[in-house]
Amino acid sequence: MKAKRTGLFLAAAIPLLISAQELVTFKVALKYRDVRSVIARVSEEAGPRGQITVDRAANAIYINDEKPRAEAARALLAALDVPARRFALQARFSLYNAPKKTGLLRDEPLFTDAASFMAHTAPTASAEQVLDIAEGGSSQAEVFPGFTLRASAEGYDPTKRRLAFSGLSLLRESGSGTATVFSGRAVLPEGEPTVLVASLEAAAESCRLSLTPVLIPDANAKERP
Amino acid sequence: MRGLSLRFRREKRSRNLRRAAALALGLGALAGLGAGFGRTEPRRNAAPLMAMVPTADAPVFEPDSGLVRTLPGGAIAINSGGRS
Repeated sequence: MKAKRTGLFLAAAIPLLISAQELVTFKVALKYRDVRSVIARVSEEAGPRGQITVDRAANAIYINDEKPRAEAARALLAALDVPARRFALQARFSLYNAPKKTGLLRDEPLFTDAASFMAHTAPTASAEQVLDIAEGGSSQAEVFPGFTLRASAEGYDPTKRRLAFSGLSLLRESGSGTATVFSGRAVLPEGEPTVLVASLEAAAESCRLSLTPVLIPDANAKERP
Repeated sequence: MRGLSLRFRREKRSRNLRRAAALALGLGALAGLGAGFGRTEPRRNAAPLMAMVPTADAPVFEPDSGLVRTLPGGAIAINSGGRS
């Protein structure tokens, strides 16, 4: 009877012991990146028992977590801690001339008008431009006569293939001065187009801007073992 | 005697100058070699790059002002409120 109880206890305890993984601690010192720029992303990899601590003076991160999660966080840091990457930001701009009564994008309920309108209407004019931009850098170019695109790139996440922009704005030059068509923060997928549509100050016009950040391979980069 | 002595002094001075120039060149070459040795990668900035990496919940576009909607085709429509 006693042996049976012991067997039952072991049968219950062994899976529990296996599931409770031991915690390990890794210290990762960053060479190229400031720890503050990656801490939010790395914290996403932490498990419920995980703890991530920052040593700003040493520009290092301590990861205390279950082994698989800690190793995943360490691998993520290794992927993030590289010199600033460069991107070619491909911009395709199209100008549409809508009938005034459409009120394209002027009012919130009419947001969906833009999709149907642009699907069935050819643009009045189009142009393409490529901006050369590096992580932490800024660039601007005239994507269409009178329209300037300004971009300030932030960090790139190679695991999710997404590039952040602290500022992305489209400006329109006219006789009366410069008007902002749109301005804000953005996170764009690398290698895929993101389409932004906006109405212009004149209710009859709207524009479509397709942006594709393409990673420029670094010829001097060393292969990681 | 006096002339010979003057010539001798001139020769000595020019010899010393040549020696000093050769020594300076040699030291310069050594310093250059010393600085070059051990460096296998280009010099990088001392300050680490502060470029925020996006988190998973970061939106595709977040306007400074106005409204944003994702259209059926996946495009982002921006109804910018603040025009200057």
